[in-house]
Amino acid sequence: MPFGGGGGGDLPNHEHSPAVPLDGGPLDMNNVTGGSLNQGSITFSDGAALQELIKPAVPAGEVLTFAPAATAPSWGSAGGATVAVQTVWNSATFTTTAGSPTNVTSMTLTGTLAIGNTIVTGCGSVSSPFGGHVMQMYLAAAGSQMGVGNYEKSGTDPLGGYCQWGMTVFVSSAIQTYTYQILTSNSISEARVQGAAAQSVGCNLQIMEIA
Amino acid sequence: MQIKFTKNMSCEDGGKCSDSFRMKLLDKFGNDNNTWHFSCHHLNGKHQFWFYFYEKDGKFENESLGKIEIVQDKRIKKYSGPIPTEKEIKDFLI
Repeated sequence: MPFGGGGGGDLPNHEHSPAVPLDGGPLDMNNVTGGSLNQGSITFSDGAALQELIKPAVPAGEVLTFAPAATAPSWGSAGGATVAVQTVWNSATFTTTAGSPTNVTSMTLTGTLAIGNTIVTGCGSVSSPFGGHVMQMYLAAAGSQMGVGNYEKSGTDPLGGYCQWGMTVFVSSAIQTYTYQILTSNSISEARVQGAAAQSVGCNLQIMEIA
Repeated sequence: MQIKFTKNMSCEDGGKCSDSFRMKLLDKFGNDNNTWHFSCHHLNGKHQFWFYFYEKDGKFENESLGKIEIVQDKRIKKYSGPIPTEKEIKDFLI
């Protein structure tokens, strides 16, 4: 419908086509064209007509989203992973004369993160004024081994220094409680020392849960 | 054979503390740590001791998850001497 008026013949559809003279021209969407919308609304089509998507009543970081199988957009939670981190630390002086790997007992670290996907990292050190110590660590839950720890600087090296270990295990099951050491049935990590007399053991267990 | 007990005592240096025990034990039970061993958790106010006198060749004993764990180890030899009682160890050691 040309706005110029007059003339005869068929009236073309009013499309605001810039290619068509006297067709209203393109809509000026920059603070000129009006619409019966609420402040903050955006529009979308339902296939037949424009629809209004009203802004959240109390905006809290919502993002525009399209739910699976939906036919219209909506405002939704920003989403993303929730990360919780718990770090526990313990140290003790444990000595043994055993020549075979011996459990370090009486040390307990407990974490209580619950669900989702969990990354558990453990690290620690053993020190001795003597050579010949070895440290081994693994993660376990309910007494079952979950992963194999690292060995580092076994044998006589370092003499009078530190032997360090560390490991990371990815856990997807909903294990409720993690403990360090072997006095409970939910032990998740276990350190063993062997060899010479005095060995100080320090352990750090970090649990990062992504839900 | 496990002998396990706690003792209300403290120490500032776990190494020296352990060495003082170890020297006594070496004299008493011999210096072959493939026939026996002892471990100690030097918690101030509550030292915990574990003694193991191996009962069979090739079977290392220690505690895990509150139970005695036996691990195959070819180096281990049966302790040939008379196994002391807990009281005898306490009287002798502390």
